Amino acid sequence: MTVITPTAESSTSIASFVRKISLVQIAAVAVAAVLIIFGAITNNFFSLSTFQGILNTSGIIAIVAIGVTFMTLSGNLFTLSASVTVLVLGQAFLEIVHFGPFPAILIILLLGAIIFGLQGWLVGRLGANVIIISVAAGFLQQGVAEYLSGSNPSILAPAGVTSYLWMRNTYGGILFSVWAMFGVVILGELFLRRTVAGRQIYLVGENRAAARTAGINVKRITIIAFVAAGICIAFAATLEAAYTQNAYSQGSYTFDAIVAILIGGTSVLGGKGSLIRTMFGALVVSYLSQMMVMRGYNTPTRVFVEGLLLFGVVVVMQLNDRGRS
Amino acid sequence: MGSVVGKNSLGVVRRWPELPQVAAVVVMFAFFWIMTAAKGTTPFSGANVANSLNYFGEYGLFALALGITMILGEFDISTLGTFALGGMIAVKVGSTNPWLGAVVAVACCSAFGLGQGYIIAKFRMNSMTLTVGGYLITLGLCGAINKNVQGNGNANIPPFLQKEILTIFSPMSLFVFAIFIVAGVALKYTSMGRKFLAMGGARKSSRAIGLPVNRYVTVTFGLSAALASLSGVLYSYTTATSLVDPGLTPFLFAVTAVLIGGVSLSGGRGAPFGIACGALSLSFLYGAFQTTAATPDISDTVYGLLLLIVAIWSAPSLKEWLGSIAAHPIFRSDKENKVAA
Repeated sequence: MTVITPTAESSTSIASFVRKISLVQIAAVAVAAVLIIFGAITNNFFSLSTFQGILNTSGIIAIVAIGVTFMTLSGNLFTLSASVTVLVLGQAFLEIVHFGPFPAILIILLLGAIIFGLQGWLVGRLGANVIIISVAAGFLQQGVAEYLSGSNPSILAPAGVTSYLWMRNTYGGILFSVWAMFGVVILGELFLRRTVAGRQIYLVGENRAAARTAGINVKRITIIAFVAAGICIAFAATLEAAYTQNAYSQGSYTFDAIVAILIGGTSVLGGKGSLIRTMFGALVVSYLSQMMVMRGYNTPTRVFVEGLLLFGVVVVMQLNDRGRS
Repeated sequence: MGSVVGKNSLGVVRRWPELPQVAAVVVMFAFFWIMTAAKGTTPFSGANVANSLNYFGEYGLFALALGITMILGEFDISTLGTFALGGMIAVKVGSTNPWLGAVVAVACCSAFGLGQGYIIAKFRMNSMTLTVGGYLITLGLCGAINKNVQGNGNANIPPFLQKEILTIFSPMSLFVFAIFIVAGVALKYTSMGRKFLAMGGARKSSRAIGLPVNRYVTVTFGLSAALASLSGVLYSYTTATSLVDPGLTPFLFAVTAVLIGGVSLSGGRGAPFGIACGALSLSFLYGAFQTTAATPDISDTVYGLLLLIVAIWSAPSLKEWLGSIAAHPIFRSDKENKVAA
C-alpha cells in the first residue's frame, strides 16, 4: 500500500494554481453553478425541448448583440436604439418583401449600414457622444417610420407572399435564425481576426491614442465598426419580421444585447472580447429567461435579475482589471 | 466693422455666458406663439402657457438630475429607472397620503442612488455601463411593485398640482422653479458648489490636491436619483398613473435640455440656470405641439432632430471639422490656393 503524502512541491503548485485563478473565473463558475442549480430544481428544465427553446430564442438576440459588440470592441460602448432599428427595418422588410426575399434583405442591410454608418461618422469624426446620438437616431427613425406608414403601428406580412417563409422554418429542430447566428459569428470572427480593419478595431478600442500614433485612421475604423453593427442589426430585423410576420412593437433587444455582451466578458471600454463570447452571453440570457418563465416569474423579475447580473459582471470585471494592473 | 460687432457680441456673451440659453427660451417661446396663433388660439392665454410649464414641472427635475451627473463628468442612465420607480412607489404608497408616498419614493430611490454612486466612486467605474444595470434593476422593481402592491393614483392630487397661480403658473411648476434656484445658488455661491465644478473639470487634479472626490461622486448620484424620483412622483401625481416602463421620452427631454443648457459632456461646465432654460425652451416646444395636436411622426422627428443638432453642436471635434472644410481648396480663393500650392 502506497501512502501519498503532500510534498512541498505539490503544495507550491496548488498555491500557484490558486493565484492564477482570476476573479472573473471565480465569478463565472459561481454564476454557472447558480444557473445549473436553479435549472436542476426547475421541473423538466434539463430536457431536449427546453434546450431547443433556449437556442431558438437566442438567435435574433445574439445577432443584435454581435452587431453591438463591433461598437463595443471599437471603444464606443453601445447603442440605445437597437430595438427601434429592429422594429423600423422589420417594418420596411415586410413592406418590400414582395420584390423577393434576397433583394429585400439586401436593401434592408444597406439601410442598416447607412443608418449606423452615419452615426459612426458623427461619433468618429465629430467626437459626438454615442449614447446621445443613438437616442436621437432612435427618435428620428421612429418619426420617419411613422410618417411613411401613416402612423400605422401594425405592419403585417403581405398576404399571399410566401417566398421568404424559409426564414422562419426550423432545420433539424432548430430555427433558421439560430443557424444564421452561427453564420454571423463565423463571418464576424473571420472579419475581426483575418482582416486589417478587423484587427484595427481591437487596437482602436484598446488604446485610441496609440492607434492614432501608429497611423491608423481611427475615424474610418469607427465608421466600419458602426457599419458592421448596422448590417447585423438589419439582418436581425429581417429575421424577426419574417418569424413574427408582423412588426408591432419594439422588443427588448437594446438591453438584452448589452447584457449579453457584458455577460460574455467583452470589456465595455473596448479592445477585449469576441463575438463568440457575446454569442455565449446571449445563450445565458436566453437560458435565464427560459428558466424564469418555467419557474413562473414574470418579465419584470427577469429584467431585475438581468440588471443584477449586469451590475455584478461590471463590478467583477472592473475589480479584475484593477487587480491585474 | 464686422469684427467690431463680433468683438462686442463676444463681449456680451463673455459677460453673460447664459445668453445662448436665454436666447433658446426666447426662440422656442416665439415658435410656441406662432404655432398657437396659427391654430387660432390665444398664445398668451393662461391655459396655453400653463400647459407648457407643466411639461417643465414634470420633466424639469429629471433634466436637473441628469445634468448634475454630467457636470461632474459622469452619466447616469439609471435616472430613467428611478424616474419610473419614484412615480410607482409614490402612487402605490401614497394612495391615501400623497406626502408619505412622495417621501418614501424619494428616500428609497436616494438610497439606491447612493449605493450605486458609492460603487462607481469606490471602484472608479464607468458610470454609463454600471447605470445601465441600475436602470434594469429599477425597471424590474417597478414592474414587481406594480403587480404586487395594490393602490391607484389619488384623484385629488392632479387638480391641486395644476391649480392656476398668477394665470400661467401652478404649484408644480413653482416648486420645480424653486428647486432650480436652490441648486443654482448652492452651485454658484458655496464652496461645495465650486469644488463640485472643479471635480467635474479636472478629476485627477482634484484627487491630487486632496478633495474628497469619492464622497462627492457618491452624494451626486444619490441626489440625481432623488431628483429623478421626485420628477417621477410629480409626473405620476399629475397624470394619476404610474409608469412601468417610461420608454426613452423623458430621457430625450432631459438630455436635450441639458445640452441646450450648455452642460459640457466632458464635465466641469454648466449650471442649473442653463438646464432650467433648456427645460423651459423644450417645454414651449412640447406645448406648441400639444396645442396644434401634432401627429407623433412630426413630434418624434423634430425631437430627434433637435437632439441630433445639439449633440453635434456640443461635439468636441466640430470646430476642427468645420476648419478642415473651410480649408478645402474649393472653399478657398485662387490666390489662397496658389499660396497653398
